[in-house]
Amino acid sequence: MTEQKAEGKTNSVPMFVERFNKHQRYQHLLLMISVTMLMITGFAIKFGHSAYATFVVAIFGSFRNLFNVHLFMAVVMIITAVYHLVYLIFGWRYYGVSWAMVPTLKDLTDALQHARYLLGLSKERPRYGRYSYLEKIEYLAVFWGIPVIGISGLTLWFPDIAARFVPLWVIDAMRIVHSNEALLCLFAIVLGHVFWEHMNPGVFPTSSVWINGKISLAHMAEEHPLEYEQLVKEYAAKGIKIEKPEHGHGRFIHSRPLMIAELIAYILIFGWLFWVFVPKLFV
Amino acid sequence: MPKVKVAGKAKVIVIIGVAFLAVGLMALNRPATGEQAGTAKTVALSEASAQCMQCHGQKGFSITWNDKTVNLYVDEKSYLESVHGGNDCVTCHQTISGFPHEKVVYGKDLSKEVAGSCQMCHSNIADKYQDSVHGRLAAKGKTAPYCADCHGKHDIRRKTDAASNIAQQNMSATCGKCHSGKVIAAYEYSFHGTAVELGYENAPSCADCHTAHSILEPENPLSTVALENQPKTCAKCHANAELNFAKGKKHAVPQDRKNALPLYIVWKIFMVLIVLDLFKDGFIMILELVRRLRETRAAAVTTRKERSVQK
Repeated sequence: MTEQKAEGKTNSVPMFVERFNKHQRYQHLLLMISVTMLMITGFAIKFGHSAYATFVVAIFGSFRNLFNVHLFMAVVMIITAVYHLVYLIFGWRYYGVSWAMVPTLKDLTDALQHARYLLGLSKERPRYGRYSYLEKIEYLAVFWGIPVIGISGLTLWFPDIAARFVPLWVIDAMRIVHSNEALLCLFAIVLGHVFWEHMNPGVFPTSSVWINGKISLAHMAEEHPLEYEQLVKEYAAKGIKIEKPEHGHGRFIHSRPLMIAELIAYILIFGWLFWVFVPKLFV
Repeated sequence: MPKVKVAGKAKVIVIIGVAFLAVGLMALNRPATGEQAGTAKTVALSEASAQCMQCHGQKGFSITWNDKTVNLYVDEKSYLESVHGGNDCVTCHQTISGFPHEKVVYGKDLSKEVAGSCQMCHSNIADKYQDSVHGRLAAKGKTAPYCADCHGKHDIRRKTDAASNIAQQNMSATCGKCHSGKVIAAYEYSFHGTAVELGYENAPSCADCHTAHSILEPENPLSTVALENQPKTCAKCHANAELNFAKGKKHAVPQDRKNALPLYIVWKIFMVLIVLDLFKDGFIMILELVRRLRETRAAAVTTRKERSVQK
């Protein structure tokens, strides 16, 4: 708010620009709440014979309550998905058509450049536009994941209706699809998504985009340089010159203790997960 | 005056609403299993049974038979609480009279002998049992459960009692004493088994599909789990269960490549996806941190150098 006021008064360059609009933030919030609750309740069912399940059932009072919450949140998630599609179709009239999320050949070269950078073969980070190749993968994972988990979930919710069309073994297979897609989703969120939006030293403890939709110019210049340059050009066309942001962003961006602590934690977590899941490939 | 009336109405509506909410919350947090279970009956031992308990009521009372220690102790309290607490010992142990006992049998022989006593009262059940796969095996002299093997001995409780061997939550363990391994593992993996384990009283346990006493092998056309009868059995819960409910391996786990190949393939695909995702995330996240650590160190070294040059 203060930035906008300042902008209105002095016609100066904003320190922050909007990255997520109101609808995108509502969609994110609905998805966050529904997916979190679905996971808390769903994994109590997938791992029904664990101490975790007993604990969660005790919180909800009974299995029936827990299951009803799961079904309710499933409906919330489906509504969110419909909301997003409606937003995509009708939002284009208000926000303009954007193809920024569509994967391009550049994403492939970005991924290769990122790999070279990570392996120490190159000092240059890939220069991303509005969405990095990782963000595109994440969005597409949700875009394919919700139909997969939604259709398999509805099959399990209404097995008698499903059985009009498919044999029982398909419904049984849907249970494997449902619970393992959920596991995939858990890892994608708790490992990948939480890393980039929270644990990443550049944004630690959290990115503010999902809260107020805003990203600082410094942050944009670092993580989305092509989008930043585009913005600079747009302002230049209006006769406003944007200086290179000097203020920096992220209090922890150079925090070595944070990085070391995270490194140890992630090595342990990934080590354990590989220990658990790689042998399952050879069963 | 009318204004006051409206306010009164609003108040009543609020009170009714709060009452509904409270009742609803109470209903939600109601314990899952019936509470009538375990109601203390004031039953005392008869004089004759009290005599039995003079020895059999001693903790640790046992005998060595066939090189095995046979426990002869009966917990009086648990017996009195059982459904048969009002019976005499000799109602079931009919061959026992006087001391020392004559014609004493142990183990399976005792189970068989007592099963004979069960049908004195439970004759309708005994008929079903004799026709069942369990009863026919027993008649052939093969290993098979008698009444006590499922229901317990001196501590028989109602099915609705959570402590009963045949309570919904305990049934798979009871059947699993013989039917161990894949069948029970698959049931526990299933949504039915998981829901029962977590206290959902409407989810089915073994007997809900296989029946309690008329259990027949699936090859038998009269069996509730015969292929042609499966949809009807499923329809006990799944109102519109159709023929398709019979088209799928029952009691299968996804890891079972031989018996459930489609499930195995789907499971394998997801394991590959999960490992690929872990490799992607692990590779990027760990190396990203390593890279940033090195960059901050390099930056720190250069600033230190600059400072020392300035000095």
